[in-house]
Order: sequence, then structure tokens, then C-alpha cells
Amino acid sequence: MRTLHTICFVMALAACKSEPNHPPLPAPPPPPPSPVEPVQATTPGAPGSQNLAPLAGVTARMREESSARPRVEVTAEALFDALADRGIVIARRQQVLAATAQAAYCALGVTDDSIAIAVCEYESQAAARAGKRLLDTRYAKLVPDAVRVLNGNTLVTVANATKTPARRDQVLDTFRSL
Amino acid sequence: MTLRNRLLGGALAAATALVPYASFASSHREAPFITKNPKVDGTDFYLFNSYEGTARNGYVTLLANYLPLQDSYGGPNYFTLDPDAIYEIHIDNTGDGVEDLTFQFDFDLKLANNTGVELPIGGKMINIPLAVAGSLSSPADADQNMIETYKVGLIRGPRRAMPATMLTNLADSSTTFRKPYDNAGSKTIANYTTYANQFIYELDLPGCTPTGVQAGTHARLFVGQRREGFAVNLGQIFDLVNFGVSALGVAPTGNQADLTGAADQAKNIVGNKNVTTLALEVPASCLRKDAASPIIAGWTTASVRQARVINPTASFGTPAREGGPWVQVSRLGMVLVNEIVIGLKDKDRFNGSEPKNDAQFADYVTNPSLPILVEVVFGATGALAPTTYPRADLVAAFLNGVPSVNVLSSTLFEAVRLNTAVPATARAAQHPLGAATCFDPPAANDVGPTLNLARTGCDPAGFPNGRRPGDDTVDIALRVAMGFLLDQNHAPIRGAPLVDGAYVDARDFLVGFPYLNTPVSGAP
Repeated sequence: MRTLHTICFVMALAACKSEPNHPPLPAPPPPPPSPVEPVQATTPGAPGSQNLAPLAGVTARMREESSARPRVEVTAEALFDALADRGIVIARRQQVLAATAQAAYCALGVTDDSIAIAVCEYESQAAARAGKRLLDTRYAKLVPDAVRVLNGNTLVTVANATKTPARRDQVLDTFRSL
Repeated sequence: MTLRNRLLGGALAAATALVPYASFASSHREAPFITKNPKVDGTDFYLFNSYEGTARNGYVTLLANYLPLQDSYGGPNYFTLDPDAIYEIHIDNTGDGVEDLTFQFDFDLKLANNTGVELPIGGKMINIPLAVAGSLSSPADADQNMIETYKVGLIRGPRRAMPATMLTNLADSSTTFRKPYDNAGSKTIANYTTYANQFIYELDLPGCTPTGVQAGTHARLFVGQRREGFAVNLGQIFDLVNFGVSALGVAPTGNQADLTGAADQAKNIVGNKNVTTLALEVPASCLRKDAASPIIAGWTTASVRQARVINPTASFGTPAREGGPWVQVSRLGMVLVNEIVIGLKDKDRFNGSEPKNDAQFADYVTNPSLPILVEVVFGATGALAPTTYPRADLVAAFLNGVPSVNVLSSTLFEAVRLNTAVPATARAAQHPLGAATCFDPPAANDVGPTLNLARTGCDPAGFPNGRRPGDDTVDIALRVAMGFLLDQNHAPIRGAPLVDGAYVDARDFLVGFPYLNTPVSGAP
């Protein structure tokens, strides 16, 4: 019955538009006794929107970078695996925007003691050298303690390791050895 | 899916949400529903101790901007506010997240002589199609065909439970104020600054005998079009936060290659737009709870009636019939909160919410997605987002105030907090980084910066102690989000002088009330 009433009400509203002799405007709905209460919040999940589509901008660019990785002798995965073999735990790893370093593809690994290990892959050794120059100059103030080493077409940045220089050197030595 | 991945997903989704709005700003069109209601879209809220000069010492200025991204040529109707809405500025002086004072603006739109200007055309009197019939120079100009007026009520206590007392124009004892016509062009209004200044009204707040102000001075009121004062380049925030490299195919502009403050001078993409400003300047003593409680919190909201029935035979006065209780559809306090902090699914809810219920949004502050997004963009450099959760530093900065500066209470809620006892900084001496300049660097990696109000160059009268037009809130918010208030161990790039590339400075604005600049003209 309620549905029927609703349909009738909607039809009546629609009829208003074509009615030659327009009826007077319906009176405003009477105010309810109290303002509408906000819907009670559900227990929040992870912060940020869960709506991941359509991904654009940064995500689209990263998708392109991921799908067109260059051939390099030392990949990001190879370095992270080698570090794990040497007991350096990579607590988390993720792809990051390579365009920042004018690279073709980049990944960031973070050790359990918060050392940042950024691995960027380039199309050529010349491009990798240019990328290193860019990072060393343009981003010097962003990450002042960053140390960068090239191996073929791959550039590694180790940062946030001032307090653990031995650990940093271990990462760099591992990279050079590959 | 791990929490980390969900965080990342959220951050990327936030970026996605921002990309289409890359040319927009503070809280302009920030939530899906409000994009359908631009007339009630609050965009910026400023709250600061007036710095016009000694004659205005002891006054606080409140500016609430609405109706964003106005193109100055937007005739023939230009940008009137919604006569079926109410616009409010709230002050909480007890720290419970509930308004203690509300300034409620109620607008009206009428045709001249109730029928509009008519011209004799071929023996008949014909209603003209334009909002003006000639040039304008004064508030009561007969050539103005569409007249916008407003009343302002002052409500003490909960806004929907207590009655309003109308503010009265001291010049004519009227409770109705006129809003200037928008800056259509120099032929319509030859000198817009002079014209608009006639719409600044003096008044006294009912129920308050001010103290601490110069004798013979009064509160002031203005509502009208202003040039957009918010400076941001959100497109470049996500195009590498203006580190001067092209990440997404957009060439860097200006000298952004280094990170000094001087580099933050690229472009302000909203600077050629106008907004509509609701401006009040009132004695601080009338906003405070008492003389011993100088800290206040403020925010602005807009509300519409819950029901709207479109009139099928619309008239000028009744294009629709509205009824039911007021429903809040826009809320704005601290800058950028609903733009880049609140998740997309909750943005409309935030706009309808009240500060006292802000616990529902706490996760967005304690576990913010923006730093993760910055890490994704800059991770190739070795930059890391802060590693500590929950982010108590952000809770303090955005939900509770800076200790020893503007903490109002222990209750957490989002609003602009202002210590009215902190002397205003003169316009020429203001620092774009506001109170963020008042911290000594950390003494060690495991301690955070120390608040030092005696620090040389410290400007404690600026954001986040209130917000002035010249405060570069984007740069401050970026740095705080990336851990400026944390120690190095938990925020590896806490000291990075992040900039968004849009320079803002107090000297770019008017020397006094209403501070925001004369609007961009619609025609030379």
C-alpha cells in the first residue's frame, strides 16, 4: 500500500508539469519535531576512500611504468631478495613513481629499522647517470642523507640511515656485488 | 589486503579524487553533493586578530567565503547567494565543540519596485532582462534591477534552539543590509573599490559591552564579492609538490628547482577567480567566554531546507517552495580538511556534521592518507612518510590546538582556534608560515621541535593560531603532514621545506577590513 501511495504521489507530481491549469504549489512539508539526526557513524575502516576506481593521474602513470620496465641487470626484486639473503629484512616494499627520478621504473623498500632503499631502473646507463644527477641536485634538501650508487642501468638510493651507517654500507655493498 | 596496502589504496584514491579538481582549491567543490549546490559551498574560513592598525586593536576579523570559482564575466545574473539558505559563522568559546555564538546571515533577492525595471517599448512597458539598467555608484542606485539584501542574527547558545537578535546598522537603525552588485565591469561600476566600501556597515553587537577596544569604534560588517584569496596549486602538489620536475607531463613553472621559500612563487591558479565573502569584525571581548579565556574556535556552515519542490510555473520570487528543518550541507573550519583529509565516502557526511561529533572522523587525522601519497610520489628519492601511528601530532595541530598557544580544551574537534590575547602582527611583518616559524629545531633525532615564542622571526599570530589571508596554509599543512612536529626518527623528511608553488603573502591583500581584495572585474 505504501508503495502504491508513493507511486501515486510521484505520478501526481509528474502530472503537475503537464497540467494546463496549474494547481497551487504544494505546501511545504511540516517540520518534524526535531532536526534530522545524523546517521550514526559506523566503525571506520582503513582511512581514506576505499573507492579505487577509476584510478587516474599518479596511479595511471605508475601502471604504465610497471608495464614497460626496461631490461636491467639488477632489478629491484633481485636486490631486495639479495638483501633478504643477507639478513636485511625488508619490512615493506612498493612501487613508487619513477618519473620523479626520470626513471623507467622504481620500487621502494623499507627495512625493519626504517632505512629507505629506493631502486630505480633506467633504459640506459646514460639515463641512469642523468637520473642520479637529478636526484643529487634537485632533491638534495628533501633527503639530505641520501647516498646513491649506480650499477649498470640501476640506481639505488639509501636514506634515513645516518644512525646505522654499517647497515647502509651493507646494502650498498650488496647492490654493487650483483 | 594489508593495512598498508589499504592505506596506499586510500591515498591513491584520494589522489584520484583530487585530479579532476586539480584547478580548484581550499574547500572548493570538495564534496560530491556540494558540487550541485555552489551557492552554499563554503570555500575558506579566516579568523584572526585584526591587524589594520591601533584603532582596530582588540577586534577579531571573521571571513567566510562562499560560491567558489566565480568568473568575473558571469553575467547577466552574476553571483547572488541563496535566499532560501542560511549562512552561519560559529564561535565556540567553551571548548565543547558546540557553538556559543552564531552569526546567521539570511539573504533576500528582490526586483526593483518588486516588479523590476521596465522600459517603454512600442507603447508597452517591458521588463528588462538584465540585473542593472545603467551604471551603479551607490547602494540605493535606482538603476539596480535585482537587489540583494540580508539580515544578520546573533544567536547565543545552540543555533537551532535559541532565538536570534538582529544586528542593526548604526547609520540608519535598519536591520536590513544591502549587498553590493558584483564587479560586472568598469562601465557598470566605474570605481568598484569606492562603490563596495559603501557597503561596509558599522554596528554594535547586542548583549555585549566591548572592552579592550578604542572608544568610539564599532564592529563592522560587509558581504560582497571579493577576489579569491586562497593560493594553491593543487595540480602541482601532486605533480611532485613543486619540486621542479615534470612527473605527470606538466612542465615546472617558475623557479621551483630549489626548496627555499623564495621558490614558492610560481602561480596561483585560483587568483583570477572571485568568491563571495561574509565579513565581520567584532570586539574580541564579545567573542570570548570571559576575560580570562582568550581562546576561541570558529567555523562556518551553510544550511538549506530539507525539502524543495520545484515550481512548474516558476516566478522570480518563487522558483521553488522549500520547507522542513534546516539541514547543514557545508562546513568549513581548518583549511583543506574536507579536501585532502576526509575520505571521499565521508565528505558529504563531514559537510553535514557538527564539531561535537568529530570523533567519527578521527581516523582520517590519526592515520592520514596524504603522507603516503607523498611517499609514493617521492619514494624514488628515498623520502619516507612518517612512521608513527596514530599521528598525535596532527591531532594536536588540527583537532586540539598548539600547546601554550591556542588549546581551548581537551575536547577534540576540527575548527580554527585563535588566541585573541596574542597581539596581531603588523601586515608588513607577517610571515607566510605563521606560527610554524615559532619552533626551534630538534636538539636530537629522538625529540621533536620545541615551541619557542621568543624565537627571532616568530609570528605567533598566524596559522595555525587562527588563519589570516596571508598565511600560506598549504605549505604549512604539507610540512606538518610530513612530520614537521615529529622527531626525525619517526619523520625522516620532517625538515624538508615543502612548497606547493603558489606564493601568498599578507602584502598581497588589503591593509584593512575586509582584507580580501577587490574582485576581478568582468570587463575592463
